Amino acid sequence: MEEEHLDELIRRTLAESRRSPEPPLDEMWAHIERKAFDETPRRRMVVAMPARWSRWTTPAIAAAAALLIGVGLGWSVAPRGSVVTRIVTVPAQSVATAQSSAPKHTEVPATSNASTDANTDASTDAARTSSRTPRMTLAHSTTTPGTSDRVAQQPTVGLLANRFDDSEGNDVSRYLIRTAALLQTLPAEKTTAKSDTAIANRAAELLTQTHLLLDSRAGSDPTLHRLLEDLELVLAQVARLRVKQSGSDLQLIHQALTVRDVLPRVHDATVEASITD
Amino acid sequence: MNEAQLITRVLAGDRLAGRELYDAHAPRVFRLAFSMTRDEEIARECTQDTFVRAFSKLDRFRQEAAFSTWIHRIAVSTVLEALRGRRRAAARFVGIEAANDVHTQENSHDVELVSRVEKAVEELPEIYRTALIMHDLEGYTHAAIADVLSIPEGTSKTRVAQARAKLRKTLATLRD
Repeated sequence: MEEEHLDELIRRTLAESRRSPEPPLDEMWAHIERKAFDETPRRRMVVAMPARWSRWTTPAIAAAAALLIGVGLGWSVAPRGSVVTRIVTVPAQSVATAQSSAPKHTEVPATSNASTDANTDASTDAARTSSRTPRMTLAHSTTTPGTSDRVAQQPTVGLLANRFDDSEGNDVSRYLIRTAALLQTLPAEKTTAKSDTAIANRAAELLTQTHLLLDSRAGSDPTLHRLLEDLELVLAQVARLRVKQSGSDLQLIHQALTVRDVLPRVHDATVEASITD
Repeated sequence: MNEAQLITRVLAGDRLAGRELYDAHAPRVFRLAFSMTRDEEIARECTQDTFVRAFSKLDRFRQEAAFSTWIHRIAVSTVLEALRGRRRAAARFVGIEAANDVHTQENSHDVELVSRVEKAVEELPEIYRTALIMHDLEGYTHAAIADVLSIPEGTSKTRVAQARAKLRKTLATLRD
């Protein structure tokens, strides 16, 4: 009863101090109308997002997700920094040894801006049957796509990225959702060794994906990069449960999740990556 | 005209349809933003950003969830992001912020009570504070909070209960 009384007192006090003024509807609409209908062409409205999700993030996420599919090995030897990954065509025999790990990238004409699934399917098929045709492999360059004739003639991952905006943004969303799901189901206290191991294994798997994303261009986005770094720490702690099971470790993990607002930020990033219903 | 039709018309560039959608949801979005921020200017900016973002991405709204849920999801995300930025800035000016806090409560019936309650609420972790404000102040159901925050309904209940428990603990002396 006493608790209810205190709850009510707190609620009333908050209601008093946080009572909303009348919203300036017309004034706000004028701003919204200008931003959403005047300044931004319909198909490019997405650019009107807050600056924290920078303009190149979507293609960067798409590029990262494309890389996650099949080029982990390639990335592990990639130079850090603002590297543009491009696909170069080389004779099949010269990459025979790399065949087992060769990425299944598709060759896209440099002049093609249209996003057609048919093109993707056709070129994927071409890549699958590439024993008869030149194969794709990855090279790394500090040259920005389109800044030289030579590069302009080469198909780039950037071009691929533009063609896969939605689906590959969803891949990153999926990673974030899986991570959030894992962290939300994290037990508050030590449970059975079997369940801890299962959780730790999932964390280890997500940790690998986190590393790949951090090394990707998507990871260069400051907001996403900070989140990925925090996730890297937390996932590493969770993954350690495999070898060291302790209730205090779990408490520390929960503390880290709370102090760093990890879950709300994962949620924000998921919403940001793909605001869909 | 129902919301699905309005959305279709907005996608075709119809401003009046956009205004109609806005009128239907903006007051509640603004109230929520104000409750979460206690700052009219930030609430206004967040409401504007919410609708600009929503209209910009309307073509990605598949109408599997209610438009209201979708717009509130964007609103909460926008407000939390603004608050984090504000906290980072405030951390650099702790003294000034603390002084302002006292003076902004001048009209309150009980300056000290409000000050203590607000301080306790501000110190709650974000996930608890958000759920508490949405439920206890703005009257969202746990189901609605679950949809907006993409969490299970049970989690929403737990967060509100834990937020209240933390506040009770912090403000225990108010019972006297």
